[in-house]
Amino acid sequence: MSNFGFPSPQFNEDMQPFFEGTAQRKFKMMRCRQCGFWNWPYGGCRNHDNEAYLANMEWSDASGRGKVHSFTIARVPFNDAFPVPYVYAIVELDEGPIIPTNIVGCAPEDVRIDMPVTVVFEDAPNGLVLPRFKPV
Amino acid sequence: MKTCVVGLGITELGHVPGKSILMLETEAARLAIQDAGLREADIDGAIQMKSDIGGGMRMRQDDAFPRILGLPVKFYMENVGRGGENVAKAFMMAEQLLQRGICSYVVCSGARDDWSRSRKFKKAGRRGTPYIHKEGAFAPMMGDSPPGFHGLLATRHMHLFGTTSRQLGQIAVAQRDWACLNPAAFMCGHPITIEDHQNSPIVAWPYHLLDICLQSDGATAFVLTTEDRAKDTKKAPVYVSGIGFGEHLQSLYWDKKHYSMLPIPTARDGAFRQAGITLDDVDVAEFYDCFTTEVMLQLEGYGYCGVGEGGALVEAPGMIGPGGKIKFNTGGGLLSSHHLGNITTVSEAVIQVRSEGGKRQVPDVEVAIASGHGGEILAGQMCSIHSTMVLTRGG
Repeated sequence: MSNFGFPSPQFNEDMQPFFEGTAQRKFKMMRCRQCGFWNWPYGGCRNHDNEAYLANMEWSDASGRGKVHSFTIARVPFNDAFPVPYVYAIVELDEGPIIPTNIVGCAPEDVRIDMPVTVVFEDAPNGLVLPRFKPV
Repeated sequence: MKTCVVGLGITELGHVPGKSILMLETEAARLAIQDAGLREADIDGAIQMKSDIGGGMRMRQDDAFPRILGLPVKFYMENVGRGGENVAKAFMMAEQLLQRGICSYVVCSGARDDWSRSRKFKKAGRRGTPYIHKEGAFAPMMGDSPPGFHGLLATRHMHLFGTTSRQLGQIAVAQRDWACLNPAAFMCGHPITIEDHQNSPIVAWPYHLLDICLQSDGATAFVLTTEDRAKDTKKAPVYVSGIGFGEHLQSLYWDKKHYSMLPIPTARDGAFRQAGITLDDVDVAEFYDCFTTEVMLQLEGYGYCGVGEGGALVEAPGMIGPGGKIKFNTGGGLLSSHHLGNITTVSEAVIQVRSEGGKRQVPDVEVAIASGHGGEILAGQMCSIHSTMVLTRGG
């Protein structure tokens, strides 16, 4: 019944290419072959109708850069897989989409909204390589 | 023909150890049927107001409260809803059953055992109510927690509009004042000051403990029927005059608005249009208040003030709380009474329209609104739902 410990969500084939990318230290996003629209995570183009099974979208190398859109600083532990303090944040990527992540590489109290950040890859206990972000 | 709430059943709330979710749902249904002056044999439709979120007993299950109570229902539906909006979806389904003539009396019941569950985990040295990690959910790997991702709204609002923690604290204080007038509220008898709010521990900055809702055990049920049948029930009917929904799916990430607003406009406009009302007609508002910022975003989103003006509004003298101009969360809400999702907001709206609020009753309530919120997809607030219900004394 208890589900503490580091989460191991089962990702389906839609997200596999993303994690294959992070394993190679590459930050991939979906990009429309027709118009260049970026999406993350897996998802279609919003500029026009999509092809069958989103065939117009392609996992592509992205900048891995962005800025902090909003954040909170965890002070009370809710799961001992995540020692406090840590920064939970939404980063707005340069390509447009947002991603839930952690800000690392600086003191939590130094994080600011709109602060420019860049991706770092960290091995997680569940065997995946996760994208976190640090100040530029 | 309109649909009416004719029965309301509320079990013990707060700490109710030793009662399963199913038994709490069963008891609330029994009380609601009794409140309507009906017999259990009259009930021919049942809906369980529960979301899958949370796992364990909140997941889909084989057993059902109508079986336990022996209700001869020809329709039973479990687990409506994505989060704290399930009453709106349950009532919409009930209305279909009634208006199509499939059922005559529908009971909607919902329970939680969050307090008892959290105690079990605290004994094991853990915190919170753990939930099953959803397939493909990305944010839990980043340590997202309810205060952690709901707090994103607070940080963003502070950044954009200069809102302060003290201003958010005014909402907590006002709702505690309401709770102190409600003997059924868990925090009745425990008033707080703004200094108490500021001195309470920081759980996930910028949220203090007193920005965060309660965890509760308990259940509440409603009996719904058609306007004509409602004439024969024990109490005056409460009309379900409007139901509306809004989704962050309407804008997704590109508008970058998720963290400074809730998808209120379509929910509000749909419900208000059906009911033929404007904000001026609303006598009491029962806002879904899982955290303080959600309340501020609703004061702004429903139009009590402009976007970004919520901070100034809540700290202006005479605006909020029992003596204030805007009457909201009159039972204390999720913050200070009990947390059964938007069952809490809808039950308080029914109580106010029926004038059964005792010391906390707002005089002459003709129109009450009750909202719901939740259902995060992928990450907190990435796609959330908002529901608005309008409950009225007259048809």
